[in-house]
Amino acid sequence: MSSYTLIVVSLGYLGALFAIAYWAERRSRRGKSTADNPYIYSLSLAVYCTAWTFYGSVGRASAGGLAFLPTFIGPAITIPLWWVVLRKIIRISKVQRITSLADFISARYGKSTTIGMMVTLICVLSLLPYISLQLKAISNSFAILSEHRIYASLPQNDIALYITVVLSLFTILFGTRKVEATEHHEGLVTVIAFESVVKLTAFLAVGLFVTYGVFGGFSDIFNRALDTPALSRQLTIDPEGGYTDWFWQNILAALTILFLPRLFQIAVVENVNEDHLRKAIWVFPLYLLLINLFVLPIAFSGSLLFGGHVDADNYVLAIPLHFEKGTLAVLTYLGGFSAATGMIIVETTALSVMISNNLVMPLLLKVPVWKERTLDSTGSFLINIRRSAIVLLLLLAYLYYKNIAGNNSLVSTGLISFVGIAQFAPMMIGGLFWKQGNRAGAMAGLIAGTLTWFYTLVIPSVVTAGLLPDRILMSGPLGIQWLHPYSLLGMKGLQPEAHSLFWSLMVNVFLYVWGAFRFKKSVIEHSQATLFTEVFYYSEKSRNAAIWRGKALITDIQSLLRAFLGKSRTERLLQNYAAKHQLNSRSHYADPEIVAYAEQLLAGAVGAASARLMVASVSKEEKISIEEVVGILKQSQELMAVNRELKKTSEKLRLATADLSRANELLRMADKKKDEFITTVTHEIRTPLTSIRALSEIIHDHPGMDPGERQHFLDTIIRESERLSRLINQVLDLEKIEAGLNVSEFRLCSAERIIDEAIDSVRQLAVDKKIRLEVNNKVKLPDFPGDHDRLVQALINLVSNSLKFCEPGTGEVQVEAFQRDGFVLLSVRDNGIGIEDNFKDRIFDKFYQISRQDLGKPPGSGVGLAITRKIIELHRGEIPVESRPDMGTVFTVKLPVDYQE
Amino acid sequence: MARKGRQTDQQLVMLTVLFAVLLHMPLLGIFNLPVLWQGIPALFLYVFAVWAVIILATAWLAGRKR
Repeated sequence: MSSYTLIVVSLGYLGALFAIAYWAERRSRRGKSTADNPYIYSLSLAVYCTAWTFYGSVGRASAGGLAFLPTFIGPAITIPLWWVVLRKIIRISKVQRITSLADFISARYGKSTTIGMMVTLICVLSLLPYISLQLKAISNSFAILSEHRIYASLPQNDIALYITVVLSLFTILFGTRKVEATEHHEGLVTVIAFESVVKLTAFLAVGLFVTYGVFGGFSDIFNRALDTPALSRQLTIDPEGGYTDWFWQNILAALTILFLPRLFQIAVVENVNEDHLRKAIWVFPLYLLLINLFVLPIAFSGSLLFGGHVDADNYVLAIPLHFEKGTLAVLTYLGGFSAATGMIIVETTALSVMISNNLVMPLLLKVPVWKERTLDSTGSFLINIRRSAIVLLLLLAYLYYKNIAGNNSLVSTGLISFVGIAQFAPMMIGGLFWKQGNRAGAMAGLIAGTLTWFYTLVIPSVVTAGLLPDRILMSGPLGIQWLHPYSLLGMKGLQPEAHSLFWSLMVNVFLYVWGAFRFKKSVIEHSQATLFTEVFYYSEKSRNAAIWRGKALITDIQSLLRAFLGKSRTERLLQNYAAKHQLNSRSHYADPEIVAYAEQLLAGAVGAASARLMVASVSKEEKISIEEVVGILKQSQELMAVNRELKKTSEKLRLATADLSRANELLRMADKKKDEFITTVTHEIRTPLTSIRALSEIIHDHPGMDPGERQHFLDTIIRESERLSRLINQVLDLEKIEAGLNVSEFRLCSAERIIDEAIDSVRQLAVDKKIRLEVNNKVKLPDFPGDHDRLVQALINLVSNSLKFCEPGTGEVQVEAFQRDGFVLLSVRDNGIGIEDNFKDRIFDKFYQISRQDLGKPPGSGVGLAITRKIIELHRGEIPVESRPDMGTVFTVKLPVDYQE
Repeated sequence: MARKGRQTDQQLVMLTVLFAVLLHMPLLGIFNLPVLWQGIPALFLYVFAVWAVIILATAWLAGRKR
């Protein structure tokens, strides 16, 4: 295939990317988001798979078998954790308007500019070689395809330069659209997702072709490999150190994947909806699995076909070419092209934001002369910094590729970058979950870790490239063996990357923790640490935690914002905010919440550290103590909690008060009743006592009185004594019943027996008074639980009460038993004097006796009906009364058949 | 609902621990044999099978209705 055709294909493909990005941007402007889709999000995460994956994995597999896998297995194992870790990062970034990894770290550690600069520099340094690696992959594959020189080592074309130019253009167009770096780049994300599909399709196509087109399936390839001594060794992990490397490489990849700037860009900054993670945490690992499925078969096939005469990094492309499959070769080329360009586009976008927000802006703002100019300029100034950064980065990458990168294979450069990026892991993970972590510790750890990495990996690679004397790798620096970069302190048995990762992470973590305990945090560090580690707690609040205590003129704040957001937008945002939170917008000085809000808006454009510097420059900050900050942060949350607590308590108190006053009322009534009761009882007792005493005195004082009269007096005394003891018995009885019946002594009672016994006791009384007593208990009734003796007593009371109020001679009392609605009913009907309506309720009160002027006080103690009612109530029954004066009375005893406690 | 969410968090963390154990020594050593099962290298088969199970388990745990 001629280079012209291939150039046309490449440019055509890039054109297609432009078209897709343009389409997605237009669609999003019309309100239809392409990126707001969990699958697009998952696919765009596959920007993790670069040319290193596409070409390099096969190269690595053919050298070390499954040793290529940890780069993907490590993430696959830890991706379930993303639901906890990444979701937290995303939430924090949304709340704090984080624009990049460097911004995140700088914001966490007190919006420190220094730490942001360090992170930016480390990212640029460790990723530049990685970017140039992608350029190398593109021009390599171009050379192989256009010149059919699968055996060639280094291409002589300048295709990398053209690609660099076009990619700069693309990134500038779709990666730096708005000043606010927190805005989503819909076009960019869509293109990345598309490229992910292309590279997966291409790789699967090659894999299927090799496995089933060239060979007879998996088992064919593996069987041949088993028969080839050099390959059969690669079916297993070398037990000598292989497991250790496997372990450390897994750790490396698992740590790095989240903290690569391009992954941070896609996974965090471009995330539209936290909930997309729910799908991404299984779709993305599935993608990784699929793209790795054919790596080993292709690697073995390459070795079997070419026997080591072709660079294993090129097998993916070389095999289709070898079999003259032109179309497949072009598809493969485009797959690798996608992998490389996707990485370059996103990585440079992310780095450009870091450079502008965390490197250039803070520098400009720290020099007074530049600061004034910066603040006077408009937002386009910031965008231009980013655009320049993109061009500069790509240019540097190109130069690096031209001069140095040619010497290293894809894999080693990639791994060196990874170990560098892994240095962010302690401060990121610590920053997310450990509130104690502070700026001093983070900086100490980062510096020491990076230096260790530099010494143990970068220097040796520079030596390998021939830029430093190779004595260092032979006998250690200055001949000191225990300082050898690949075996510090004589540590052996680890691959250089694992060795470097171990030492660098160890000093990094140690210093991070040490610094956290050794140094105090500043106020802002403290508040940021709290906002980060407890983001789910604080982000539920709608308002900003205004930890700002500065005085700033509202016009100053406005002019700051105007520079980056434009005049109309600034005014609209500020007015909306003030209106929404009912803040005073007429004062000359800005409300602290407005200042905090403005700082957040600025942070979205220039990063947390720069925004802090800018706001600080227009305001006079009051000293504020840690306690105050913590106080303010917790204040509203605590107030809300306290409020809720108070509400609950006062509600409880209200209920308790009501209960108490009700109880008090009852007590007072009971007290009153008791007084009445005692009065009545004493009265009732005094009457017979008086007559007994009077009669006894007469007998005593007149010894010679007439025997007949004396007999009469003694009869009266006996009758009155009987009445007295009956009264006392009844009062005691009532007290006993009011204390309650022993329910456990309830037995099944029969209404028939109760009536029979009661009637037996009162029959004589009725006969004496010449009153007709009629009983109708022939109906068969169910037995019910109760206290038989007490019920008989109750019925006796009722019947004797009726007998008492009937006219002798014409009086009639009927006792009847029947059943209705689950109740047994015993009714006592008489044709006596009846009861007036207003007395119906009172007749059951103790000692209440209706006295009528024409009849005088009725006989009896007045306790009988009270006892009766109490007995019935204790059986969960009722005792309704129907009566009209002179028309008779009906008492009905209702007793439940099923007694329920 | 919050309780359920925290439960999912914990289950996913445990999933990572479980599969980290499954894919490392000493368990990995059991399959580190120079033999083919159904024409596939034992270790290759084991690693990819466990990988697939991780994906299924994650999809199941994360995809459940809250």
